[in-house]
Amino acid sequence: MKKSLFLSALVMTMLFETGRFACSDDDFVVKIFSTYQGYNAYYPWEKNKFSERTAFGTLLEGGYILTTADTVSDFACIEMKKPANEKKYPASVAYVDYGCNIALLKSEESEFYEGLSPVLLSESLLKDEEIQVVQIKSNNDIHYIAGTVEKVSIEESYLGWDEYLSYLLSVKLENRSHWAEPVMKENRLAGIVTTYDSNRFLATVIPVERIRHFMSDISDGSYDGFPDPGFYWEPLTNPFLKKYLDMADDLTGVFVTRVVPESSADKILQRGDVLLKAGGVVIDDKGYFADKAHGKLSLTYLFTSRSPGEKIEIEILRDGKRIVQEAVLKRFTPKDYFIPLYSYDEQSNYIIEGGFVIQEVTTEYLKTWGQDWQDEANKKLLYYYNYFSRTSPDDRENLIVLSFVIPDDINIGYQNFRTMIVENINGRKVRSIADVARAFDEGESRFIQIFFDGTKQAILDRNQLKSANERIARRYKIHKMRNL
Amino acid sequence: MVMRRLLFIKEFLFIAVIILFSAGSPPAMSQDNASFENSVVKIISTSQIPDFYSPWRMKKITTQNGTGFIIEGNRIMTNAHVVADAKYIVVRKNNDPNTYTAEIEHIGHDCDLAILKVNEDNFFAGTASLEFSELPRINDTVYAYGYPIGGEKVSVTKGIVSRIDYIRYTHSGIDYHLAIQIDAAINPGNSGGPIVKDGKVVGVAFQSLMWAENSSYMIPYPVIERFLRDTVDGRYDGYIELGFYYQELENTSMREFYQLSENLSGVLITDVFMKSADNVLQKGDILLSIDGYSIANDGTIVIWNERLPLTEAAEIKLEGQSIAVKFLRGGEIFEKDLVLEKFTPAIELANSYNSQPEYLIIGGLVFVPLSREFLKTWGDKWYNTANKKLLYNFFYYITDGIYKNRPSMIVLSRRMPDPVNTYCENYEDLLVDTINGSQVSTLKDMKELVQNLDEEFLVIEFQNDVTPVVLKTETLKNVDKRIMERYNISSLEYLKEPDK
Repeated sequence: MKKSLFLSALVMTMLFETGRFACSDDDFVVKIFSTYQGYNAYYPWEKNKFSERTAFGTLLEGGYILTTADTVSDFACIEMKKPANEKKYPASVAYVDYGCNIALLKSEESEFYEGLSPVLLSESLLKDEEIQVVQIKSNNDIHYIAGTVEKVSIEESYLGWDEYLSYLLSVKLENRSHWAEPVMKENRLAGIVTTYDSNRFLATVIPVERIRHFMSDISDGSYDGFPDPGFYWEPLTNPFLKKYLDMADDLTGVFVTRVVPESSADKILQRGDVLLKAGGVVIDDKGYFADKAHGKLSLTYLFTSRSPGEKIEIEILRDGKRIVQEAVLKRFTPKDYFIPLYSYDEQSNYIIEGGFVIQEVTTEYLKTWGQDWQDEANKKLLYYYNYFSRTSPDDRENLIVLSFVIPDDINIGYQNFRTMIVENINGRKVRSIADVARAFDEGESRFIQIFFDGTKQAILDRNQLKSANERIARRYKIHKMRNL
Repeated sequence: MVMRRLLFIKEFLFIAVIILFSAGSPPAMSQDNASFENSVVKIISTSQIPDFYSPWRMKKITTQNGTGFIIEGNRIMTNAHVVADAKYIVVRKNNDPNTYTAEIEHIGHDCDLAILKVNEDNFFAGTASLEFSELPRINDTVYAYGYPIGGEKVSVTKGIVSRIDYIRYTHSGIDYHLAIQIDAAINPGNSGGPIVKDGKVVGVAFQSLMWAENSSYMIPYPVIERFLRDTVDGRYDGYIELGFYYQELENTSMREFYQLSENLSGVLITDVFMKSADNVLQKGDILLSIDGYSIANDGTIVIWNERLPLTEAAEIKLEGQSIAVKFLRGGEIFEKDLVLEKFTPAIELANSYNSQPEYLIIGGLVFVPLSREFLKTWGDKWYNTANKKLLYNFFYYITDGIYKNRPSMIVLSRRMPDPVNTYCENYEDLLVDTINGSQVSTLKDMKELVQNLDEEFLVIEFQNDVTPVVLKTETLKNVDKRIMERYNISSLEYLKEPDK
């Protein structure tokens, strides 16, 4: 099996390779071996089986090895290897942001950096520019594969929701045994490859703009991230709607449909506003602005290309009047989501009391319904996921569910309870998993009364809980009954 | 597919052999077998259903076969699903060369039963009306009569009563009633046929489990008897609803919390959603007995010599009758009568039959009420694949109290492209919120608001995060005829008159 793979790799190389070997300079690309093991979203006290990912890393100034964040998500162990020899060096994650898909690794051993020299960042790439994608083959040869920039646009992050500037390259990549190949323009780094469509020979690339933003962000030793516009919008293509909104003929802009509480746009925008300009730049009716380098880009880039804490001038039309305000940009972290999109590296928050497995609803949790989870999961949770993923419909911080009940004497009569939202405990509304913990730990009353959505409720006797919890932990081999 | 089919036949043969060898005495019939078989008739029903996606048109015409049997009063009993949406029904008898047309006299979609009548009296000549008998016991031998898979001759299969159960009747999709599982081979076409024990009908064959072989269900006598009794006044009213939700009190802490002493048992009333029940019961009451049947902590009563859910006590009651309830409230026991009513939610939660879909087309935009039939236009797995906002509002309509604020809901289903609505390309499956600022939830109100509009623009806001639809009022006036011609629509609306 291995042999035939190697042979075919050789044939491919002979047929398609258009590159050349790097010879004179020191190396700047390394191989990364990342063993990852995520938590089980259904049995949150357990971890899933582990497996390995391999990727390339690119040495930047400051001793940072740049790779994609998806290389290191849920990592248990990361090692790096230089092309020069087979020695592996342990690596640690210095900075990671799964939304923008960038991770910076470091090695504690100075020997690792011997024979390596960092690359500088290139200027922005423009459409039709020619580039080279770098790969290290299994025999440690470094190959340069020529390609062209097909498109520069704003695309949704691979995790959804967030939008970033992206390059699309036309390039023939064979045998992608490692992810995150560097993209070079005249010996400078212009991006790293994330996904590759082998049918159409198209590579999606994290552009140098995003890398530069990330690097300048961490130059003060802390990571602030990419800001989020904090509102949803729709194009304003209906001339009657524009007229109804009292827009003069020469005005363009987009219709604000929803504002995320406590976001950049909170108290600045409201539903029904027309966003005319951001940062002094005119927005057209379809939500594009004219970027000097790349042409028309989605308005979100006006926000995400800046930094949190920065101010941005916002011009809107409200009730027929033009208003100019200043918004302070904020980041929207995974924790700010009502239904978090991802929760890598962390055990999800849960509590097991009296056999009730109570946890936060996350996208990972919804995925426990299987491949077709977006259709087959609980319909109420899917409704929240589709319409309130970022913003709570009320004052809850997270959606808390009783996932299932681990059968025991204490929970007779409740054992068929499944996927029910925990609404309140002893009359107090449950807004977070911490509220659940408080209700169990701090209450005085003998009985704990839990109300779920719909009509069901459960009563647990506090006097029986301790022994039941011990019994359940022992019988079902649960070494950790909660994580907060 | 082929493999599975072969396997099925093999297993079937195996069982058939066992039955052959183990068959005891032949069924004792009250009349000779030939005339009994003549009372089992074949029903050929031609139906046509409306297209809820394009509600102005009908879907294709189909014909299906079923079985029925003659009961007293020169009537034929069958399943509702055999004759649902029928435009034309004919019946044939065993060994009779003639075809007779039949009409529906009564149909109960909630219990999947129907009564047909045949206008030609000579149809009934030489036939006997079949009689019913009470619930059989488990392990009793029964015979299924019918015309499975389109045959012209009556067929009989034999089986035993496997269990007595409380299941969902798939015809309406939301009703749960008593049903009896039998292991006789029952196939499409058997539907509506009598299941016979000792020469009397103990049930009507109606549905089977798709994933389990040899498990067919019949509608038992208590359900049939209730249906017949309901039609005595010349009109079928249908099942009543108790109007409350309850929770079992199996957990000891739960019983202690609600101070239910050792000698008492019952269930907790967790929500009351009908006025009839609201007059008597409230959240937090412990229901101890119903219609004289004492309720166990698991919510069951002993009725028909079986332990069944307490709702069975109300099942046999008719609309307007009352039922005695005994309950514990604040440590005191109360006994009251609950007048039973039908539950008529403003949105159609059950499968609908013989009904014309409501719709309203304004400026080429198609508006329909949210209903099960509309959601079913998403296909076989509509309950998974339909728009998630619509699904939520449908499935949680009662339990989340949506009905209190929005008794009915209007969906902008789609757009018939026309210059009047050029800029409304992406509007589909959205829940209407307001028309020019007024909240609207029925098509009738919507029509009135639009007709009486004297503003420059018609502005429709949605419960979704989208831009409002804005149409120029003036352009709406002349568009109707054009859209009707362009899309071959005979009418731009169908609005039902409110009941009664």
